[in-house]
Amino acid sequence: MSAKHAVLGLLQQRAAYPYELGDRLQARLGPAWAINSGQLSQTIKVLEREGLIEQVARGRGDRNVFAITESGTRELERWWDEDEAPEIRLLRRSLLLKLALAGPDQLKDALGQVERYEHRCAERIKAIMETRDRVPLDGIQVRAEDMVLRMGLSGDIYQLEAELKWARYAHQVVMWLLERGAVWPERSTGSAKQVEASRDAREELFGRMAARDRDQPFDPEGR
Amino acid sequence: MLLHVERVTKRYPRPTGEKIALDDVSLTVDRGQILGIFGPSGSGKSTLLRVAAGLLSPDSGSVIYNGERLDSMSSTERSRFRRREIACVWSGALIPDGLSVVDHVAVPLLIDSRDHRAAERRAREALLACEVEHCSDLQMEALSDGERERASIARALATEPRLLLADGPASRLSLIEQEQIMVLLASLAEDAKVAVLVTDSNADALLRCDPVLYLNEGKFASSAQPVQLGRVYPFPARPAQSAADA
Repeated sequence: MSAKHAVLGLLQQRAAYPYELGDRLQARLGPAWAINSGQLSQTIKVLEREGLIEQVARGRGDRNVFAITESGTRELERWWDEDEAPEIRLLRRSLLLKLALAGPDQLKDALGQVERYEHRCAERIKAIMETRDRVPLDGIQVRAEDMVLRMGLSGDIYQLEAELKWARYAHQVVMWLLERGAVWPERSTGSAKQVEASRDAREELFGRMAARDRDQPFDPEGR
Repeated sequence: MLLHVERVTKRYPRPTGEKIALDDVSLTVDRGQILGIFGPSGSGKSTLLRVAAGLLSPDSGSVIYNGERLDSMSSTERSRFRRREIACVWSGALIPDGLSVVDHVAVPLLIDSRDHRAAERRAREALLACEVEHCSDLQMEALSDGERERASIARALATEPRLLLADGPASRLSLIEQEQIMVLLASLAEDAKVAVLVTDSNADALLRCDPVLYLNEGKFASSAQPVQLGRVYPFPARPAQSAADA
């Protein structure tokens, strides 16, 4: 998990109170990096046990100051040299499961769900875009940390855009099923027979076309 | 190869000079192959298809169909040849009102034959194969965009061509209909061994085409190395091990 290296990295820049690290991460990289205090103290504990960080000053209550150790620095270097693979885990969308389990009678309801999902994707995109718009871009001097933050937020936006694209596709599929009367499993209907008739006709016509020889012109009155 | 378009240039006169619609364009397509061309509006896609169909003469270059030069045939000879070998689907083309779908599909057959019954039988078969048989007796104007596109493909198939030119058949359809139309065209290439040339302004629509070429301002973006779908994101050269290791 990247939280470990995030904390190590920040502590390498300067010793700090753990509690401020969560906020710093989110401010620098975007909302995906929000780490709650529970996760944070867990991470600190693990890092300390592994000897990668150490306590350098004692404060009141939780306010102990931590710094990176030599082996922590080595771990950071090892991590830096690792090649990164795209960290996309294929989603198990709960909405997809609902659509799969829905029968023809629930399609209208499903359409409502898909529409609300689209709406929420769009809202989240908008919210992150607004955050990104507040990151300064003008001025003669470009601040590297602003650029990195924009880069992080753009990644979040693109990911949500892909989700919105899927939701729009899902919308079309449900509309399609609503309007056209698809063949449903466990419901043998006339349309299944028609699909079969079409397939047979296609096989025959296409087979004849494939067999058409180069020197044998099409005979419009054939057969 | 079935169709070979060789270094074709086509210009259109304009009040302000002339517009070069095709600029030294070459391509080949073989039976069993489905070739996709995408490019923005005005990039020359439709002109290229019209030249390939023998409907438009190029200013220079040649169109060779099965070893014969289309552009050097007489117009009667060419029309006859085209009716036997080539079919076109022009998306959004004006369709005369008042024809039933089955009549519309049978028209190309009746040009060379007076056997109305055989023509109707073939038309119905083509409609069934394209899954729009339920529309056979409707008027053309009663069809949805998707059904109309299928009926147009059925009309093209009724003459059992060996080359099918389809200009933006998926362009006005929903994503699902687009996919279905492309699956039908791909099956035409694979199962009916037709050479299929299909255009769209959007590369995403050209599912299953191989290769997919990018046409812009009358030229292929790179004639030596066509852009292929699935390779739209070129791999950057693998970086050498970092300088520190060297």
